[in-house]
Amino acid sequence: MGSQSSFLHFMHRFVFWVLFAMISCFILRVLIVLDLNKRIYNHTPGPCRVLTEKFKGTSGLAFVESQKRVYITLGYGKAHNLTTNTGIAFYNTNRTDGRNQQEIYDLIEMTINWNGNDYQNTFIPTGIDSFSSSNGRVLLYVVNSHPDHQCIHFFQVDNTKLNHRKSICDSSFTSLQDVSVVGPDRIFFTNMAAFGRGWAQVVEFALQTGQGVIYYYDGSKLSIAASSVNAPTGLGYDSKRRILYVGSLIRESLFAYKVEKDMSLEVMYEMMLLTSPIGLFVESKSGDEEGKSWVTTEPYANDGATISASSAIVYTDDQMIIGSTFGRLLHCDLTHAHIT
Amino acid sequence: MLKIILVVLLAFFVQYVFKTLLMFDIHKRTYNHRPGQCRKIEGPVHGSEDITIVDEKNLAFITSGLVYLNDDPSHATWKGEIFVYDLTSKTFKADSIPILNLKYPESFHPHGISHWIMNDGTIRLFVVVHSKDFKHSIVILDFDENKKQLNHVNTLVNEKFVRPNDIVATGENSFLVSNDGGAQTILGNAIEMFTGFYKGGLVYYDGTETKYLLENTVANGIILSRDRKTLFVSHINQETIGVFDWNQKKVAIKKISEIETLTGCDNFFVDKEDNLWSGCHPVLKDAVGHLGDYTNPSLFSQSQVLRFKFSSDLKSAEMVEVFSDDGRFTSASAIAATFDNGKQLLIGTVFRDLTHCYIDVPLDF
Repeated sequence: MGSQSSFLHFMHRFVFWVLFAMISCFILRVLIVLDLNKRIYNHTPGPCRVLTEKFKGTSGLAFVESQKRVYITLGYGKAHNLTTNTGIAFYNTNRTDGRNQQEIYDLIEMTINWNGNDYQNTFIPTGIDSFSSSNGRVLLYVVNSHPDHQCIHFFQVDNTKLNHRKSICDSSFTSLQDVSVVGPDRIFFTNMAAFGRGWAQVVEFALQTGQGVIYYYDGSKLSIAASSVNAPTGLGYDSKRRILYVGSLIRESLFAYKVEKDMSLEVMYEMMLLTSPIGLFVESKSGDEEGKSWVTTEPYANDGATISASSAIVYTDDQMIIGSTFGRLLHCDLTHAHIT
Repeated sequence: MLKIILVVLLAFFVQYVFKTLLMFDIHKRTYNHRPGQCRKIEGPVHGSEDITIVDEKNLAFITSGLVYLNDDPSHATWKGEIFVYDLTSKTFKADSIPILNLKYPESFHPHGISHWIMNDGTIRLFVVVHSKDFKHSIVILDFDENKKQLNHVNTLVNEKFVRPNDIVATGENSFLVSNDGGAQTILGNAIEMFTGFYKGGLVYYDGTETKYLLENTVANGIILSRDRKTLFVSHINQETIGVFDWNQKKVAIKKISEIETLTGCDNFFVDKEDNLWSGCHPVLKDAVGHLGDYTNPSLFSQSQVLRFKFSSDLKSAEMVEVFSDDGRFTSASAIAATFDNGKQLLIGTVFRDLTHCYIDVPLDF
């Protein structure tokens, strides 16, 4: 009886201290993730202006080189109960096509032909990417983030109109974020968390359980390319080097995956950004051959007064377009190309 | 009862460790960007810790060859120098100018610098100087423009110059000087940092006597506004900037505000529009590593140039990050000064070279 009670006493103390250590570590990690001792110091790479503030969200951008257009998803805030219209627009980056100074900054909203599908009311686009075929056909792949209708919509561009081609929807889609195209109708896309929204997702993030998923769709079959990823957000694909870059919201890092011949993903390295990446853009001109050495550059920073919670970015022809999760779309000229 | 005491001590220890980790910026990094084309200036290689710009002559004076918390005097093999840079030339070359009549030239390792234009037009320099064994003095030099040399005027040693860092001239023979701590050794400085009991402060010298204006704090860079009514003090270890009313007649300061920067701002420059510029150390752990072993070329630390535009009541400031580097191009920025109507920028470092940049981007939002 005496030895048993002392053993129980020891076990109680042991369990107490283990729990104490675990809880302390948990609290410290949460505090670290909250970035208490960080702040933003504003700067721009050149003159900037607002392209639109009509929509609560300009969170997805895709650049089509052949058309010199940037396609923008509009109205992501509707997924979070904000009152806003949704849709897709494009910005023409061509500066030498004869438009006047005012027309240069126009955003062209596109009409969508759903081909009989009743998707308009649940259309909340966010992540977007494009594929241009050799015959000039431009295909768009759009993440739909409506809480009740998480899908990837496939479109074809017809000047200022989008024709819906097909959709992938699945009950396992809970928080789709971004999409990256590796070939015609071959896409990777991210599901950030097992829980779609609300307190369950907050707890999941706080516990940092890493239940995000990267899906791969090969044109007919859906599969999981990587599981147990910690809050995957933006995707960027370097087709020359066959590297898929995946942002991690909670780890504040960027993962680089090698895309094998069979489209499986092999982790190459993790780049600690120490800031939460949302949208990724792969610039075709930069980066070294191995894809391993890197310098992190911050061309634009703002404390929220001009643009809040930037989430997507496109850089081309000395121009930069910055989208945000719930707010404005910003356009900046790069007055010098020393973003090294 | 004993258990309660132990739990309280444990809680204090945990929060202390956490605050210390945050102080050392363990999860911060810089993201590189430049305001335009940047290049190195030929000349200073062992530091360009402070710069004073004489607008009237289009000259910049740069201190180089700093010795700091040096436990081993034989380690300091470099020479202390003052460089002059012609801001109108396009040679991107700064010249080391001779200093005449120094009593102990090998003990001249300059730190902070300030200038004063005398009634006859002579440029007078006030320089914080350390010797190789880290003894401190304030050296006053007059610039002979024709001969391009500095003539020694005076060397001041005072018990209140505890560990001087920066200086700002207030007259032909008067100045404010900052002490950035009280410890004279690396170990003592570490204790001061970890305990938070700082022994630095601010001292005024009126030509004959010294007077404490601030005590038991950290004062790094100091500068006066163009109208000489506002004093800015960098509390670098606390990552704040103190803003004070300066009354020279009464030799008195009155605190206006304290701006939280969340980065370790070092020396200051005030431009013609009364914006405050500073070279900062955004990640303290790397700054400590680099500055603690500054002859090691594989150790470097981040650089950051901030411009502060103050509100009219001086209680808040807008911050713009003009330059940011992870240390491979510019390591441990300490001072940033603009010229050519704000179109060009000089970035000085504690123990390395001098960077010159053009500013091609808008700084107002």
